[in-house]
Amino acid sequence: MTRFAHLFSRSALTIYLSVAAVFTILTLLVAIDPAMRLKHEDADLPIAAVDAAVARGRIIYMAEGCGYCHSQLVRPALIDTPYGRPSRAADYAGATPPLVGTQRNGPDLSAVGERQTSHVWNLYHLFNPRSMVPASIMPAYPWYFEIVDKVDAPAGALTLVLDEPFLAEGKVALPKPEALDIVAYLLSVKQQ
Amino acid sequence: MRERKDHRQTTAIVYAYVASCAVWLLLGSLYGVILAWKLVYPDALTIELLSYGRIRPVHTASLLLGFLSLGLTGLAYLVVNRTAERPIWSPALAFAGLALWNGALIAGLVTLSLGTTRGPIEYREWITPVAVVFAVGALINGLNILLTLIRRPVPELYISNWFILAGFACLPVLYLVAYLPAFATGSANIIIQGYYMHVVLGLWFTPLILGITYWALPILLDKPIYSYGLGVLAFWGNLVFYSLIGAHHFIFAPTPWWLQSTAILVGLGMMVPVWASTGNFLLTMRGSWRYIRHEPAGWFLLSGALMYGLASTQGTLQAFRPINLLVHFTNYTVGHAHFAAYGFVSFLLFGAVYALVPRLTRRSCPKALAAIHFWLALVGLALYVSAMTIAGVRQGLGWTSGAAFIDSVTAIAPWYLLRAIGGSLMALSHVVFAFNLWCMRPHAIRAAAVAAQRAPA
Repeated sequence: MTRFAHLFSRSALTIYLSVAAVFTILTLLVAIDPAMRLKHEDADLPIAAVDAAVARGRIIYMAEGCGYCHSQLVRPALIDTPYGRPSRAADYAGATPPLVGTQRNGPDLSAVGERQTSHVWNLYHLFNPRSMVPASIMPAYPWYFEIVDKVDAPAGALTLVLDEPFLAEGKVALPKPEALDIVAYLLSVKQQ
Repeated sequence: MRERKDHRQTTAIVYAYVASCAVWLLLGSLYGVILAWKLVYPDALTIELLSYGRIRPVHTASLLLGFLSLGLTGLAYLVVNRTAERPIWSPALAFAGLALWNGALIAGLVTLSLGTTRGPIEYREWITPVAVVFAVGALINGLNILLTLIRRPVPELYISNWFILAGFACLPVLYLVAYLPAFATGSANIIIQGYYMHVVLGLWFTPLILGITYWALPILLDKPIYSYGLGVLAFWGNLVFYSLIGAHHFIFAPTPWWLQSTAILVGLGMMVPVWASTGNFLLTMRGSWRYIRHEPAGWFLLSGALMYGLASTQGTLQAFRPINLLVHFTNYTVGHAHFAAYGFVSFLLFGAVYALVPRLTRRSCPKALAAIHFWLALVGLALYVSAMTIAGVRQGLGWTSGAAFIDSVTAIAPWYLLRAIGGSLMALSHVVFAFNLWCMRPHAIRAAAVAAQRAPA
């Protein structure tokens, strides 16, 4: 026993290696093994076909860090009922990574595509959320829009028309392709 | 002569790390201040590169992987050098590690600002090439510290070194698992995310700062640590319990129920090592209150030790399912994260810097300035944590009542403002800290500056 204790109090290599060994074993128990099992169980889940615009939109959703304020995880409890049914493993099949999130500075979006189905509302809200929800604290994303003079806007194109302070007098906003991709993604986020 | 060269090298390594850590502290807190005020004035600074979602991971990476990792490693080199009574095995490797980490941090800042990310998976947003550079830096520093300790002339391996070795043994394993492509997809990733974001705090930052405190406190007070045995208990307890509780970050997620329950229960076990160390630090301070009262380094160490116990207890409690249901996803969690990472780890780090760096460089800063740093940081943190805690409970109650989501946003607006004020005070305290660190710079830097001034233009 004393020799054993001595080994620890004297040998840096023993400490280093035994910590690495203990930690690796515990990692296998609570991370690697359960993750492997879950992966195995999920292998049969159908992965929904995703069209190209939705896939591009999801990448922008990640790039802009939307997931830091919007979770996509509905818990099986009363508090979460406004957001849809409780989330299942199937909801995240094929998702790299699953966008569960840890905070709700804004509402959960697990089923936002069922709740807010308007393409136009989403574009206005993306351009400046306060144009649709005055008390919103979500950032505005004007860089996904082109601001042009009203007279220069191409006929028939989807144009955002807003008063001050959102747009200067005589200006309109034209969504860039990225804006359409983000909205395509948001409309696609549904619970099957 | 040889001894003087060793001392010069150690001083250069430690000061370079600590100075780098101060730069990332200033940058990371600037990002934090911008984030906090954006929640008050959402239309301020609507610039792509400063958009909320893009700079949130820059804030966390700059402070956790930059400020804390660099500061802790710098002081770890000092503790290892002093307790092993041996020069750092390879100063060149120490500087290589510093360069790799700074390189990774800069690359991470640029890529995340441009929107190049692996997704909102906290503290592992960096794309793989950036993470690999960081991991190589960690391996190099770990190896350097291990070899320094193996080749020491003193027989005993002081407890601080156990903790420091443990941090450097766990980080590579942890980082590897976090980036394994096998678990990048699907619900399996939720398990890995909980494991990583939790363990990186508990088996990287925690052992390093505890190891440093187990050295800084006896040095500051000029007496041995109260109980070596409590230190050993804390060491093994932290290693075993902390490894098992990551799953409590995603309670009610579609991950195994037994895994979540185990995590919650083992969280109770964490109280043993946490209060063993907090108690050990407080009992070491007993009898030295008169000295501590006049010494800002002591104020930081005392507050940090207390906040270690309090923040960890809060963490254990908030994992319990009924509490978690109410406060998870709210700002309560943000308050807890800052209470722990700032009140515990950063306060002890500041205390250790004020206790150890002047003894290394033989230059100190005005005591009044260290005191200003302390009070700005403490008042700022108190405002921050209380604002976020109240806001979080208010959010949870609002959601439970079934009111519209936007009501919970407007209801906590005053608390967002108070948080922004508290956060700004914390950032201001870091400017004072940076100045204090400049006052403590080694003579070599001062000599070089004087020579540069004297040189003919």
